[in-house]
Amino acid sequence: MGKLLRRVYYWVHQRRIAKELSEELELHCSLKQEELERTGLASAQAASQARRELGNALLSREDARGVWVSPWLDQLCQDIRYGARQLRKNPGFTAIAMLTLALGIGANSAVFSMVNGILLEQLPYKDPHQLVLLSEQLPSAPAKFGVSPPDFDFIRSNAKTFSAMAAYRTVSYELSGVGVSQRLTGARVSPELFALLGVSPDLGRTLTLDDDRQQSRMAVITEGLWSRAFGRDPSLVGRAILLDRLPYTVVGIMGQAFVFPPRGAELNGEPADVFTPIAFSPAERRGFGMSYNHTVVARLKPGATKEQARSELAGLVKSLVRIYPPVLAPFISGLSVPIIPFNEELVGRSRRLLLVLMATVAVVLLIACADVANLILTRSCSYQRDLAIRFSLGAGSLRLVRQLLTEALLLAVGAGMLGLLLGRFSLQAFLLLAGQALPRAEFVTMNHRVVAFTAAAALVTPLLFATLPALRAVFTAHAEILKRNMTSTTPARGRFRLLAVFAVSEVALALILSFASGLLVRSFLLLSRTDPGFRPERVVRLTATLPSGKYPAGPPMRSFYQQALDAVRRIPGVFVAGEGSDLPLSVRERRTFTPRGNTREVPQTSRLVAPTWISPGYLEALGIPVRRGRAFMDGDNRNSQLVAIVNEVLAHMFWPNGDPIGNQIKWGIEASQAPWMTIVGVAGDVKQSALDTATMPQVYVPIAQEPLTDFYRTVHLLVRSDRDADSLSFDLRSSIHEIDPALPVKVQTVTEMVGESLKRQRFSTMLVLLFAGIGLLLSTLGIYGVLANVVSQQTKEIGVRIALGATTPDVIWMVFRRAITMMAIGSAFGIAGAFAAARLMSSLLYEVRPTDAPAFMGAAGALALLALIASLFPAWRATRVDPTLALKLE
Amino acid sequence: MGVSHKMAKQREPSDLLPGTLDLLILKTLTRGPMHGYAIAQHLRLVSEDVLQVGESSLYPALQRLLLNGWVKAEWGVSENNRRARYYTLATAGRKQLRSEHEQFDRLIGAIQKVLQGA
Repeated sequence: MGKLLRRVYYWVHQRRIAKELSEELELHCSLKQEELERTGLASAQAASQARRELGNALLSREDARGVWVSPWLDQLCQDIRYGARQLRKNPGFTAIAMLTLALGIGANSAVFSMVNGILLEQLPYKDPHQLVLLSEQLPSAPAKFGVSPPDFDFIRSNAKTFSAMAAYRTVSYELSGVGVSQRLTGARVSPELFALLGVSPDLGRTLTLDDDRQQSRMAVITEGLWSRAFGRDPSLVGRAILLDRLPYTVVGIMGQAFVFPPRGAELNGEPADVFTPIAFSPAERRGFGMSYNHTVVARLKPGATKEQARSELAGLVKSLVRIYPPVLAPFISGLSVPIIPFNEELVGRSRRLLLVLMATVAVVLLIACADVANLILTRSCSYQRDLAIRFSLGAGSLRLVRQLLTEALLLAVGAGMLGLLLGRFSLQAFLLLAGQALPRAEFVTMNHRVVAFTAAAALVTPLLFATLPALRAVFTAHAEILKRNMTSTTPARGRFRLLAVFAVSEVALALILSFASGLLVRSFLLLSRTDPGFRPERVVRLTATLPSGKYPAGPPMRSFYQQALDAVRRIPGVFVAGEGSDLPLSVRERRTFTPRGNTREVPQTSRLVAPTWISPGYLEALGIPVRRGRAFMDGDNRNSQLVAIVNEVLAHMFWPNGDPIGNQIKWGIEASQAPWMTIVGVAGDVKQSALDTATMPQVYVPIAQEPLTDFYRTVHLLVRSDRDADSLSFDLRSSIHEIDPALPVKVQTVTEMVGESLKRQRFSTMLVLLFAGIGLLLSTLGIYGVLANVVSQQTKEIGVRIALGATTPDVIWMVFRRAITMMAIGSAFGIAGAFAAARLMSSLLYEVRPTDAPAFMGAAGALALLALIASLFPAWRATRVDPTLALKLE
Repeated sequence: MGVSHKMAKQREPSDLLPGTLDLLILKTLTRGPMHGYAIAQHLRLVSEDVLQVGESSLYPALQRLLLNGWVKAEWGVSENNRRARYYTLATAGRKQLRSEHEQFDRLIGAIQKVLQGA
């Protein structure tokens, strides 16, 4: 310890101490001189002998210093000072190099922030890796669905590998009584949920079993809602708030860090502002075969593995199926309860996208490094001469290489800091662009892990861009001191070869980038041009959810439905208006049904249909064609025959050769007591969930013929009109508010709605395009650098050729030829990488194969353009070479 | 064994066993504070010209002793009124001297046994 302190003391006072040592050595020398004189030598001789015996004072001083400060530390400081000076002396080079690197590093920083926040950060609950999600699945259904209450009860009572289990369901509440009424996202949850997650409230308490059992109206709200709507009123706990115009008592307020359900799950995946007891009614508890829309989160017992849980569940499901009512047995044969780690459910779908983004920016960084390497290689002659001189003064090769690398490191550190700044700003922009498309976006920030990653990336880059140039510079300096003249051309040739290597690799990487972005663009264009099955132009939708407080199920809802439709039809400029329970691209429900009337044999388990309840006008407003038969009319009401309209998929499935019109279908299985509905029309297929998901069977039923239960709280009004969307929206809102002034409504053009469904793909395409653009720009600069260097190095040869009669096109061709050669070689190397990239991305592509020809053409075209632009200026310079001047140049 | 001091650009490795120089300097300083030249002179005189320590070995060695806290240095005035840096033995130095002396004796004893033995 004392030693360390003494070393520090030395470091601080080193100048004074060094001077003192010099003084000491001087004294030693003069004392020796005196002694020599005493032995009889003349003064001058004594002096010179003393000095000779003193030997190399510099070395003594260095050795003395070496005791206190390790030589490598000294050398490092020296290298840093020297490097900084070199960088200052060449501000142009330093600025361009730093900016280029910063672009690459910044892009990596931003993308890693997203990767970190989405893939790496743990969920903010206790021991999140022990949490799993349960769902139910049937072999016939396209995707897994939620859990039904009786199944949940059964599994919870009998599963032993879990320490706790809770169910929840996302709901929508209208918050009124505080300012403007607004719609909130809420969640009805099992009271055990909070303990399961290991979270506790900031104020008050969470829900209890009693709350749930007694179905009391208690609510827990989030800190965010408390701030936004209640101004952090501390007396809120214990008071009532109006949800759906019913009073709920606030019993607790959660902390700021609590987010549940986390964004990203397919079912019930929207963070809630308010939590109420799930309070299954006795009917729900006995309702086998219904309400498969709950998500169940469970915590594995310590020591239990997912495999154990899976096998236990497989066994339990067998018992579960046996307690189903026998009439449902054929329907649920093959039922399974898959479990998936909670985190996986949220981010699984984004993982591939983020990987592709990381690969893209890594490639961009490589191109940036190659660019900087080229900049280093084409540095001024004086720099090379400098090296040669230092070499001849005795610096070791290794030492010189180290010094060059230190300078490169300084450059990288500066670029790293600049890159971090760039990354921060671009991250904000990216998150804005992504909107809801990214799960767990709340966790994406630049935290210490991101900074560490950026620093690591910055520190690695010098190795990439400086090693080869440094080695080359030092070894040619070695060769150069053997010659007398410093403007030899042979090193230039070696330098050109290395320049060309970097440029060719840039071309290869640029090809990969442009191919990848071409594929994504093609995919996006194909997706956005997919026929959704309806005509979204000039249609506006208005969505409202009727709060249960004011509209109990039944006649009050029906009255609103009718009044709303009538009011909207009266608005001037409206061609046609209709209502429905669901909109295309977001059809929620799935039901089984049974057809009658010489149908094809189709297994019971495949008879899953997406039902939609509509009014007359719905199909016309959306522009869904009626292929056969008719649409609904006002005459289809409670007093007339029960009717239905099916879509083409259903028609082909059951009546492939005949006409479905006149046949009948009913809800439920064969034995169900539901009434038969007569098919009166066949509608065109529409996309029910996403543009890239195939259409499934769909049945339309008139709202007028359906008893309205809680399912129909959300109503969509559709209005087709030529009017400008803003003024139409205004009129729509006013009409509805005349009926119910406090009802919050959402108005949007249907075109916009369709656009929203493409948000994820738009995000990935635009980001990759952006990065590819940067990469291509950097590549162009790199090629330009090489060509410019060629022209300046070969000015003499060009001059000779012009003097010998070469025409302007010949000279231009000289330059172009080099560019084309580099392109060709680079492309040859890049093709393999491009196809590998395409395979990596294949899950992101929609109907675009990895060998897509247009994308490849596009990429080749982009590279050709790149070569052209890069060659322009150097070719022009080449034509301006004055042969007489060039020949005089030595 | 002697320290040869050549006047070349390259230094030659010391002929002394490593660490012996430190021992000799510490022992010299038991006689009282001395400056560098005096230490070198003392060693030469006592060893009858066998041990000739050059500046290139002496001063780095003295720095080493300073770093380890075995000696202390102070500027003072020399015999002929010149400014000189005097080194004194510190308490830690005395301890170090004792232990190094023991080690040295043991080593020499071992070498002698080998030379005298079979």
